[in-house]
Amino acid sequence: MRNYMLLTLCAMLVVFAGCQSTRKDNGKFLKNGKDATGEGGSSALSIFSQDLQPLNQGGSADASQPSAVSPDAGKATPYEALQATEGKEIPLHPIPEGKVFKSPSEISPELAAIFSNIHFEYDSYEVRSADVPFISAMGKHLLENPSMEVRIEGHCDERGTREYNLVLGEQRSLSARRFLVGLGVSPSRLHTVSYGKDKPADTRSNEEAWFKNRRAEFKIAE
Amino acid sequence: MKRISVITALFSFFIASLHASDPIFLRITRDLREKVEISVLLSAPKDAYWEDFLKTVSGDLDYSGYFSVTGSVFTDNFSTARQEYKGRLAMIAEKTGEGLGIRVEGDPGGKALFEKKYPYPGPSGPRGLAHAVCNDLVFNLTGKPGIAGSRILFVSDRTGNYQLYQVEYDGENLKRLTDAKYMVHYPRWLYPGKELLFVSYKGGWPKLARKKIPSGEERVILSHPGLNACASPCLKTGELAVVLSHEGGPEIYITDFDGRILKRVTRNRATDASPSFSPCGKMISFVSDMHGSAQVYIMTREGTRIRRISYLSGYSTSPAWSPDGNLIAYVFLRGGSYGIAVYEVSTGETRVVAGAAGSEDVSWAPDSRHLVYSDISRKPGSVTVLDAVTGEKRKLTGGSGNSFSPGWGG
Repeated sequence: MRNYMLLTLCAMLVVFAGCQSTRKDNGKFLKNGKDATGEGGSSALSIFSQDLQPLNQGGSADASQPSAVSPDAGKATPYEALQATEGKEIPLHPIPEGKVFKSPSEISPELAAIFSNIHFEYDSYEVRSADVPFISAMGKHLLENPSMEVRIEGHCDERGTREYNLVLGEQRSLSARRFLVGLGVSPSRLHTVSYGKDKPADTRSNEEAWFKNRRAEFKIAE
Repeated sequence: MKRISVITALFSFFIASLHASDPIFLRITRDLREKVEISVLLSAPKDAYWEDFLKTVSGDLDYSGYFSVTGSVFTDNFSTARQEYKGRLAMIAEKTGEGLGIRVEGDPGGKALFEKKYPYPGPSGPRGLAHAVCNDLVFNLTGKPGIAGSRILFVSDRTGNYQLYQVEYDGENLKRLTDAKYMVHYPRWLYPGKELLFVSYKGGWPKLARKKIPSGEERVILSHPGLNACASPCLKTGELAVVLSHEGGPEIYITDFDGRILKRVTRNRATDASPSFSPCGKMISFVSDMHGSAQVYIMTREGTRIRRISYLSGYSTSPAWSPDGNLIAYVFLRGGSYGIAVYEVSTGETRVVAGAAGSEDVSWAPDSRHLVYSDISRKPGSVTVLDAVTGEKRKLTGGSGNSFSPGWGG
């Protein structure tokens, strides 16, 4: 009888481990296709942990998840920032009438240094691990300056078709926004716009130019 | 109900019998790649009006894909001209005091395959008259709408910034439609020739707007925060399939023509783009990276029964559902170059219709045979028409500046 119970317990553990493995693979698969095939660069989340939560495919609205989007909560680490908003829908807010967004370099060299562009891998919209320190510094600055609003502009390189790139550019803006919301910045201060591949920073057709063009730019309204 | 079905079946049999006895109809519809030779013989004063008519109608017949024009001449002696300009068919056009009579026949003096009288001079000049003649003939022989005189929308940066243009299908009558200080993009016909949809960045982000022609009156219909784009109209249901991101991710929605949201169709974390309604409005083709790379899928308007249809490469986008409902064209990337494939809904078969065309942004013509796409293989990028049956190409735009994002359909 004891042997039978031990065997049953072992079988349950194997099944449980299998389920966990499937959940992890599925989560990573849907998180970004490039990761599923092992292509693409290291994502921001992968530097902290490989143990992703399963994705919310049901798309529950963020209003039911106040902890992830509460106005300027402000204590999250980058890892917590990503965990808090991973897979969640964070509704966009209308841009207030008359709000003028400027390039950070037009305002001050300090802001230009903080709000520098972040870049993405080809056909990907994950925040790269290399950009985590920069976007974290932006989050810190936004938490210290609660009246500041940001328009995050998503761009793509010239490869890929035009309309798909328009949506990919929006995904890049939303990824950066999701990260900042996870750090505690109020979503109502973070707006998105995609230009697809229509506003390249570098018009050449080579790897260096393509990398420069796969970017999110940050425009500031004080 | 049963009685209606019986009547419908009998009527269909009658039409089929009518055409089955017609060798020209059989020949045109049996192998679409085989063109039927035709000569155009016109009896009319040899002035600028009729010269323009003759040139245009010959060009229209050739462009249709169904005919090969062996000659087009002014003549008062049709029997002599028929011997000189050999062709399986002859279009005999005769100006009389009552207007223009058109008769298309196989054997000289034999049974007319098509016969119609047109008022002269007509409201739309010699080109309009020629387009009407060609479209009537094509519809009569094939049952499909003609494309003569249809207009193509596109974007060009030839003035330094993006503006919307329209041009007739043969490259004539190019017109600029906008003089915007902000970016305007992705034009598509809502009501062909009368009203279009486009993306306007007025105010700082992409909104969906309608614009009337020729008045130029504009109206924004979707201005949610984030993305308001990728509109595909379904005239049968009076709905648009669009991509909006205001709920936090790019998702496909159905709205009415005034932008009122009727339904959210997709709910996932993937990049959902470029919805294209089937003509009946029951199905939607779209692009998604839900399985890793961008591929083309079809689903019901409820977002169910999602099925991938593109298997040619690791990157397939820009689906366009044909007006006859049986074909979905899309762009695929293979070997560093873009090509165009056509998926046949009734058989599930896929055919590559342009291997390395440098193509993006495909749009069907009303005849479900021709496609327009932007050719980005060379700079400046151009708008090019492709006969999906024969593979023949016609570059519509040239000169300075890039031309892209074409919309046909009417």
